Amino acid sequence: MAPPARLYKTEAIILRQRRVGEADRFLTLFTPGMGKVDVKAKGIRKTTSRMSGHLQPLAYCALQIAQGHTTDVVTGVETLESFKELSRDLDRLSLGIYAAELTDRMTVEHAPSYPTFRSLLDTLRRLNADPEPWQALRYFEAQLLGHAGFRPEFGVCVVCTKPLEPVENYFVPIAGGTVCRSCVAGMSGPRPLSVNALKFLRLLQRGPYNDVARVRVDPDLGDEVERHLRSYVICVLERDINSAAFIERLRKDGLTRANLTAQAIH
Amino acid sequence: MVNEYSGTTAAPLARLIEEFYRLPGIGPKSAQRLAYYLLRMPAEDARSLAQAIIEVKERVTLCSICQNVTEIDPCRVCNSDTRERSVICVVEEPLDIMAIERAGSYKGLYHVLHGAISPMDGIGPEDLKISELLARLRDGSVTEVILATNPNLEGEATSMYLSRLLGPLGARITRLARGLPIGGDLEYADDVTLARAFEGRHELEA
Repeated sequence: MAPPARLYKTEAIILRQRRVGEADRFLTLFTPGMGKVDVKAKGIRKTTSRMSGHLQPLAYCALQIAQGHTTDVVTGVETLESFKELSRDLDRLSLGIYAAELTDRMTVEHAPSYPTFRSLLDTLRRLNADPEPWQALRYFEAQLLGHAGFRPEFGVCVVCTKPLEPVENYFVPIAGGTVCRSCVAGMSGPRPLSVNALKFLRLLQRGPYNDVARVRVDPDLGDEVERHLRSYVICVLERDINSAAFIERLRKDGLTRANLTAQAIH
Repeated sequence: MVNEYSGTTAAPLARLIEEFYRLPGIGPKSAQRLAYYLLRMPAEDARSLAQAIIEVKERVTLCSICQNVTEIDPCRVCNSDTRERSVICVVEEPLDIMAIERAGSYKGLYHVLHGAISPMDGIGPEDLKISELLARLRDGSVTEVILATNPNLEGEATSMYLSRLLGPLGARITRLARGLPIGGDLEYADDVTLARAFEGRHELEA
């Protein structure tokens, strides 16, 4: 007689899924105690599946999982939070997908990181409810870089280690942070960094989220901060985040909620 | 994988195993089983299978209007006089049309996107047959577009994108209802499905 399956229970945020076989899916979970793990969910592509509604990406669930020879299999699931607004608003959904993909790319399997789990869960709650989801995503990006061990330096010049003057400096992703005007000569890929962008990047890194959410960020400053963080993420991962292209596409086609509302008013 | 078999397996058989292995959902063992099954089947049956594969590749194309797979262009649905021409049902894959036709409750036209937006996998709107759909809506004869993408993350992203893109063109944009499946138990329903089921409730006729 086969020994009974070894079951374990965990909470998890579902980062991504991919189809496998007739009606199954592989799910990539981020758990508080085990970090990132891959599990199989059998039969969840059938409309009659009792688990499919609970096992959607970006959902926060409680799972029961059976240990398998090659892959663990989900045997039970209950939704803890489903973030309904994310599934209704394309802008928020695209930011949520970016957060999930970033977590997937910045972490390795079976490397527990409770701060990363906590940051992701808080971020999904903020993306679901906050009036300024963009700021919540940038805060997460800065925090996640820190949790993953790639915290960029925004306090001093990474070359001469002197505090930065309140003038335009440079952000050099390959050097790991900011470089002052005196040291930038000969550096590869320096990006001009305005004083306000530097202040906001420092706040994203150090401040509690409530302080970040209180700042009114104008579109130019927002673009600059986003560009710097993205260039750093690309440098760390040595590749781009796929979901960023979709967010850009929505903006380019004028299909963001803000654009559509402005068009309706005119 | 060919090298794995080249020493002990006849070269044509090794090649067949390799070809099966490239198919979705077929692992190395399944590929071997299928290849040996074909080896043992009557030559006539094997020839018939090979002919069917060749015919599919040579004679089946995409309909220039709805992008469904078809033997004649435009396809039978797009050519039909009995279909309602003012309604287009947008689906992800040709197989979805088969499921809807089997149910027999829809009499309009179709449009196949050949996929769904999946930002994480780098599949964006430009990878789907969206420009062909836009072209069909330009003359104003279509009054309703039914978004019948799958009720999952990619399907929702696709339908929300299409609803924003097509909204200004004037046609009514609708989405298939979501709720409790026939034969399901309420206690196993998730929050989103239950919320949508409550939103989509309707009065019972006396």
